[in-house]
Amino acid sequence: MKPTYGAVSRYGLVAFASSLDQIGPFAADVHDAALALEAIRGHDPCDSTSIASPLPPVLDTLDDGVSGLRVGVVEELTDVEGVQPEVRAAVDGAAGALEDAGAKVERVSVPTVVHGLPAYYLIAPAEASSNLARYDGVRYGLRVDADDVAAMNAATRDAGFGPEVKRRIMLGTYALSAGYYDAYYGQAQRVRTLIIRDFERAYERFDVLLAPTSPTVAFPLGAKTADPLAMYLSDVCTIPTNLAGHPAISVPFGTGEGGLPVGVQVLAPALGEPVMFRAARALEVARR
Amino acid sequence: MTAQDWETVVGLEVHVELSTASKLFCGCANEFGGEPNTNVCPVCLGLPGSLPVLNERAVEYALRVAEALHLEVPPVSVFARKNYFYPDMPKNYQTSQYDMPITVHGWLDVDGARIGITRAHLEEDTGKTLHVGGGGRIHDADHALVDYNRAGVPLLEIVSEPDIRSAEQAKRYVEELRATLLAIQVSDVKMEEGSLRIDANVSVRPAGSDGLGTRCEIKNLNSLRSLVKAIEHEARRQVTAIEFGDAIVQETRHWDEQRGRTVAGRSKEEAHDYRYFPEPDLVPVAPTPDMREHVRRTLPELPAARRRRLVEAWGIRDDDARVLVATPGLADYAEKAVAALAGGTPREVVNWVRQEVLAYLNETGLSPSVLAPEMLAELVGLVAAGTISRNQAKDVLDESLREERWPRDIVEARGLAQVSDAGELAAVVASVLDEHRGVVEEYRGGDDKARKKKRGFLMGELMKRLQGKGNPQVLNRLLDEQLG
Ligand SMILES: [Zn+2]
Repeated sequence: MKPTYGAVSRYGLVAFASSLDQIGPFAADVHDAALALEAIRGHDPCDSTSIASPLPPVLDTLDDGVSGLRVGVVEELTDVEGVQPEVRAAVDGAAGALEDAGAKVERVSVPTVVHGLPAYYLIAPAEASSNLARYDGVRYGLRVDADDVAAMNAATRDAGFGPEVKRRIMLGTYALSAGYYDAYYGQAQRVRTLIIRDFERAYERFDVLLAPTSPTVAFPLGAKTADPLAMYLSDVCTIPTNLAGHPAISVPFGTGEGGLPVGVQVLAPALGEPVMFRAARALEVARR
Repeated sequence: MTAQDWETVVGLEVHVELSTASKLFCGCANEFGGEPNTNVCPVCLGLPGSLPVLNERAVEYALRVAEALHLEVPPVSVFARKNYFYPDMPKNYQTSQYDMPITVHGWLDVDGARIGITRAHLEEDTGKTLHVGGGGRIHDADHALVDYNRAGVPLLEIVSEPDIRSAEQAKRYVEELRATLLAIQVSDVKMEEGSLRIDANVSVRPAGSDGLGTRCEIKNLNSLRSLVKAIEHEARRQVTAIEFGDAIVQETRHWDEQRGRTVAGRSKEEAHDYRYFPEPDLVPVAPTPDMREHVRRTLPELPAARRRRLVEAWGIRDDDARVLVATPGLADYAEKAVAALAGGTPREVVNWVRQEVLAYLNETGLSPSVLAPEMLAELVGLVAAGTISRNQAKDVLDESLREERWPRDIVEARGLAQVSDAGELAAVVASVLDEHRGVVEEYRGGDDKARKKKRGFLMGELMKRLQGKGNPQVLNRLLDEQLG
């Protein structure tokens, strides 16, 4: 699960994309995830983006059920081309399970989420290009010696970073360059604002949202490394809520081709972890 | 066209290290001159996983500067990352401010001219690189050492409008700025320690024109002297180039103190695209009305107001007031001495301060704050009472400053006290005149020349008798009376 941005301190976390980075637990079940979250979150004066106010308890209400809960299934992430039928079936199955448990489920449109992926792939690499600049061989870590300091920086970074990291550094550096900033980084930030507004509008009518975690069933390790764009596309469903800084939790719900698991995710507004966990718990119970 | 037909246009970027106890984004001590790499922590070394936390004192200091320089404080300001690789910058980006600085649009009056200030923004300082081997020249060096003690020290970059019209005015602007920053206690403004550093943007234009010529940015100005010389040289260089039909290229130039000229930087290496973007590890800064009100209430008197007050209250010259206010702690010292006066005038205090006290401070490098102003007040009182002469007072003050002794004790120990009592002296005069009756006769019968000579002889005899302690003014008056 991924907590609300600022719930878990980033101090000590090696930064990738600072405005998106958020530590969250992987757990064997929903209860353990809630337990871990309550242990690791809380205000940290060493992280300026850490939330200062007390965070609502999660464990206490974990088994309160979903009776009367308003659930919206995000059309733009579910009912579109590119989402495998078995994935859509899993989402529909999850929606049915929640309905059976007493929730009110409807389809909801959150139109700007479709722009999440391109916005993310500008903002994240831009921040990463800057965050990863410190790995230069000067103070610590790998150093590849060369004639002068600029050449040493270049040789060290060439040897130390893998192709995907280099690709993102290049992307981010370009997005921030003079003359391109407005068209890329600036535009991506505006899209981010629109996505937040769209989600806020949806949460006026719904307590939580439901969507696939990934448009496809799990693919074999390394199957898409040769095609980065296809790999980036598998993030399309998780990115919008990440851009908004909202919490989300992915729960296995059935299997697809080859018996590999399919996940559905429950999304909630900022600090909406209690209700999000209740819905996730209900899905887990329904599967057993 | 001749050289007189050109006008110099200057804008200054002044980097001031703020004298907060700790650095801008971590708790490390903000100190000059420690052992290399002792005032460092994971944050200011940019170690993976570390995050900055803004030092609120630095914000308060910036707000003080805003009050003193009539700057506006926008409701929200934002830190930004300035990205470029340099070994003395631990993260390879500098956390600075870009399009939303903490203060904008102010001014500073310099000798009646109003110099606009575009902005003043907060940023972190870098470390220091030391090139080793090859005679200290960067390009011949074997290797470099980096000291990160200075990395993360809070800086305020104060950017002026191109309102300055001469090298001399640029110097006066910096002097006035330094005096102001000192008065509001935000920096020690020591150029020799790098706590105040200047870049100058210089261009020239035909006199009377409103347009701006192409400017060059001059870096490496480590003293007011080099600031003046560099601007003068650069303006001459540009005028000569234009008169020969060459275009001025916008570039960074370095002041070469030894050769007394500016030298073009290696423009390719210095042409950075800083790729500024908002610092995601920090939240926007929004100074509250309470903070601003607190700063306003506690802001000390500014130099211009203080000079005016001292000139009016003490009847001293503008120049005296300027020296007092421009030297750290000197005006405080003088004001305390004046407050402790039991005899004598503030003007006399200021005369001693400007001459002997300042000479002593320059010689020893001490700050006026370590001196006892009450001792100077006592000395001025002793002179005013006629206990010692001005000449004697010089020696007494010198000893008082060096030995931290009260002037009265020195006078007593040396037996310096003058005899000024007219009754006591009248008896001595009568006795001496009686002893030298013949001389007195010659005096009375002589011409001007003879009288002068005889009178000198008698005064000499008097001083002999009084062991030099007779008050000459009183003795002269008594001689006038008794010689008739
Ligand atoms: Zn530190």
